[in-house]
Amino acid sequence: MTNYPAYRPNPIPTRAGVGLKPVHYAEILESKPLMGWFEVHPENYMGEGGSPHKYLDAIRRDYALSLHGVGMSLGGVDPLDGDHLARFKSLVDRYEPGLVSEHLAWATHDGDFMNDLFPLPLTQEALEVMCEHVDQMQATLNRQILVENPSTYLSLDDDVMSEPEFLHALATKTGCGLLLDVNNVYVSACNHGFDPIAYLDEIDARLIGEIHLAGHAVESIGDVELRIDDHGSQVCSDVWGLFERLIMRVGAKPTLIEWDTNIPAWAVLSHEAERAQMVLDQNDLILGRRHGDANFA
Amino acid sequence: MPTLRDFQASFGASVRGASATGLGLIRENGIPLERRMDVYRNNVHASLIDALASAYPVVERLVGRDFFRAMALEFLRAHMPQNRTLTGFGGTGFGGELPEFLEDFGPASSLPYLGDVARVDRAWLTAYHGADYPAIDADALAQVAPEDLGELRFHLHPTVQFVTSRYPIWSIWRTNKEDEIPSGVDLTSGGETVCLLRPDAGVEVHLVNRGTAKLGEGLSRGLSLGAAFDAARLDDETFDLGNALHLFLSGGAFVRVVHEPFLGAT
Repeated sequence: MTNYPAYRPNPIPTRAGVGLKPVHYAEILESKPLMGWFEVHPENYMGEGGSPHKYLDAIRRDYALSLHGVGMSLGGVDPLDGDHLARFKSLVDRYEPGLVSEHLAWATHDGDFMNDLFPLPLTQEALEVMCEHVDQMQATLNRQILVENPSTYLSLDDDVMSEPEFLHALATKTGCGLLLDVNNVYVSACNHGFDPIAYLDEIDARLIGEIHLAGHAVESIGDVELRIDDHGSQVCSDVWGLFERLIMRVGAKPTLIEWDTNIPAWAVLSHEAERAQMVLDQNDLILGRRHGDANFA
Repeated sequence: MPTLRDFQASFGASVRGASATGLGLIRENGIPLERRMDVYRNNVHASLIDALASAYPVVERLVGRDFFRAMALEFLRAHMPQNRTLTGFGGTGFGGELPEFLEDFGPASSLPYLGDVARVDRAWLTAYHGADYPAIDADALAQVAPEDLGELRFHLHPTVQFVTSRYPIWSIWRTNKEDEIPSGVDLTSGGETVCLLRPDAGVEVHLVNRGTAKLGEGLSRGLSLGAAFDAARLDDETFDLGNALHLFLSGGAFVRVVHEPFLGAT
């Protein structure tokens, strides 16, 4: 395990942010809205130049930025794609993001990139593969990354540990932090029949570098529901409840609203972020009173 | 317990259509394994088809959403992404082979211009993501003595592209890209050539005459302005050099001008 220093310039504030979408570029640049930070998928900025970089440069001048990878395939049994890692690094060098994250997942088959987050068996072998690849990514970028829990639709009888146990082991061995996606915990809990509260309570607060919130879809199969993580709607009330409970326990953390399909008007998206901000503020208020902070008297 | 490699091979094959029975023991928990796998199958194919639709918006508009999705599913059988990103690689990245695929795609044979429409969409996306270079403006030529103009050679901006078609490709592309209700295009009105330019960061698609395309192609091959002009004039006797240079300069087509005699290939 290598301890990478905390990243100093342009840190992500302990506030709510949103995923940055091209349809909102112009409005953000014109209105300079009050927003804690933005997050993008680096894969969408791996072109050589042009409009995407022009807008991201401009927005980066006014806001903190996080890079959230979806294509690294850290859990893939094959070696990491060196070209992809090099492109990722050049984006980190160019935009100096406050946070960098990837997924507990894999995405390739016979050299084809499948553009999705496939589930890993939670085995010792998979843990070793994840550790090797997280080590390699952190060493290449020379900084800590956060690893996110995915939404999953199937789980294996071969699992020898729970997902929180797996993530804790990964963090202990590599020094990575965790990006805790509360919606993904809820979706997976519903799809596999485990208790999302117990899952969240198990996560070590010190490892959580970022939280994700998003909406999901519900599909009925016979008389059973399967929840699908589509980032296409508002955060559901159960997930808000889990988020509030989590923040009460772990304190305020940088929290992102993801909305990637059926993308709404900027006002709708920023309203979701305001709602998350209220939860973070509420917690500060309670903690402030509890700690007798004079500013809250 | 299968090895991780075996599990991932079975899983990947299952996403691409094979039965999921090779995966080992799955906790079904009231939802059959195949239905659980369907979520991954749908995620993969829907996300890739969406990416193709956003790369080829005019093709999708011409054939309609349902036809496009069925066609794209066929395309994916042999053209899965090879990079971990779906954008930014133009003709060599994901979806780059679609124009050629469409020309051999039987169900689209009633739209013989579809491949060329796709070429314009592809060129647009290539220009959109192309590298940034500052362009020269007309002032750079103002200092050159008139008798020396023919000697100039230009380095073209990497986003400059031409697409030539036997069909009125600019008319078809433009009305389906920009108009709320596409206007009718007379397919017998003859071929058209489009030129893609990217002044600043916005992509422009211009209808150009044969001579302008010939000039641009000549300059991009390293011909001097005089030689490229002669070739253009040979092809198109009404060709007007002033108009063509104005289009290229105002569209940021040149990143460098070199004024030196060509010493020949060595």
